[in-house]
Formats: sequence, structure tokens, C-alpha cells
Amino acid sequence: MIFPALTSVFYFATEMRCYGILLGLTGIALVCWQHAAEKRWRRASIAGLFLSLTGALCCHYYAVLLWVPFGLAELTRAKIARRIDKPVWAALLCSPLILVVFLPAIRAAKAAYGANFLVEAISRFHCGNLSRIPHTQFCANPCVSHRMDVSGSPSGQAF
Amino acid sequence: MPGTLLDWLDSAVEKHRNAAVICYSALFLTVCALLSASKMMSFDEMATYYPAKLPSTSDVIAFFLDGIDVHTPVASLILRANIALFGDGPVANRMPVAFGYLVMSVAYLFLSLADVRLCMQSRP
Repeated sequence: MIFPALTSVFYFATEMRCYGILLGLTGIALVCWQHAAEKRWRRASIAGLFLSLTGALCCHYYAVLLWVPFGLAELTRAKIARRIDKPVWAALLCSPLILVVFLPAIRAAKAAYGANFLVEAISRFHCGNLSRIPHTQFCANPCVSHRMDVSGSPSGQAF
Repeated sequence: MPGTLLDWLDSAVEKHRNAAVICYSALFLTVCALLSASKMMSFDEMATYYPAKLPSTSDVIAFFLDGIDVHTPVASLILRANIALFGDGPVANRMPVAFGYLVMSVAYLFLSLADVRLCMQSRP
């Protein structure tokens, strides 16, 4: 229990990003998978596994990488038991369907950042924020000119 | 001596598991609160914070749907809800994340290699 607080990942416990919540949901998914395999509160565990994996994917798109260890573990379990645990597989396979909700955002981000990802990401993010957020004191900062340098277009436009 | 101390700690945690979780959680959240209070907001955090401060929830969703940020809007929506509930401050804003990390830490208590081996052997 103390181990996660002793690693450098502890930095993300006080970072105002989704990584801490993502780690929490991963922990819940692990416990649910374990309980489902041991047939303890099986229905609730499978529902928990589905919801936690879905939640993790809602937090960050890279959470799709969670399917690698979970898939391998479930494959190993299926090989040992010589039987497929259909409800657990259903939970694992259905949870990425939440990506359908984020498809427009993924497409928009892909269109915006397809090439020159880093430069475009930084300039668009800054100026997108500046044009929409009522913290107008930031409007005088160098990112406005940076945006103009990158694209040659005025920075005040809405993205 | 350290071995004896660790053995005592191990048996104490096993005996009083719930009390250990409560004590650890209190200590963890206190440390996180102190760290959060003394930490400057980083660029990555601004990427969550400023969209969360947009006038309405639909503005936040539209911000992400337009592809300005490559992340999902969930972090900003959670932060927005958190600001509405507990106010806007460095500690309050970072507490949901600290709580998520704490959940992961507590999950370790329920997982052990022995249990995982049991899982592998159990028939579906």
C-alpha cells in the first residue's frame, strides 16, 4: 500500500491532470478482475471492471494500453482453465466502445495536429485558450505573436 | 532490529487492516494537501485548469470537440465540478487527483501475487 507513494509516480498525486484518477480506476479494475476471477461478488465485480476501464479511457486515450495486460492476463487464465470466461471478456471488449463518444474530438484533434504536432499543439492550445477564456490579461503574452509566426494568420480567431 | 520492527508492522497492518487504511489515507491526503498548497501550477495543469474555467459546461465540451486540446474533456469537467463544490484553490483543485492516487494505493492492499496466482488457477 505504501509502495506507490515511494515511487517517482507520486508526483502525479498532486498534478492537476487526470493521471491520478486514471491510476485509481486502474487499481479498481485490477481488484474487480481479481474478484471476478475468484467468483466473489461476481456480477458486481464484472460491472466494476467494465465501468472502471470505461472511466479510465474517459480520463486518457492512452488508457487503451491497459487492455494489453488485462487481455494477456485473461488469455493466460483462459489457457490454464481451458475455458473462456465470457462475461469478463464481454466487459473487456465492450468498455472501449466509449471511444465512439470521443470520435468527433479525436477527428478534430487529428485534423488540427496531423503534422507538426508539437508546434501546432502549443500554439493552438495557447491561442484557443486566449480567444475563449476571459482571462484577458494573458492576451498580451508572446504566444499571440507565436501563433502568427507559425501560421501567418491572426491569432484572435476561434478554433 | 529493523526486521523485528517490520514484522511487528506487518502483523499490526494484517490485524487492523481498516484502521491501517484510515491512518494511511489521512497521512497521505495531508501530505498531498501540503505539497499541493506549496506547488506552482505547471503548464500541463493550466491545460486542465483554464478550460475548466470557461463560462459553461457546454463551452468546455465544445473546446475539446474543436480539437484544441488532444485530451478528453473529463479532467476539466471533474475540475469544474470540484470548483463548484469546494471552491477554487490549489489544494481543493488537486484533491480529486490525490484521492484517485490513494484509491490505487489502497488497491495494492487487496492485491498480492499469491492472490493473483489463485486467480490464475481458479476455473471460470
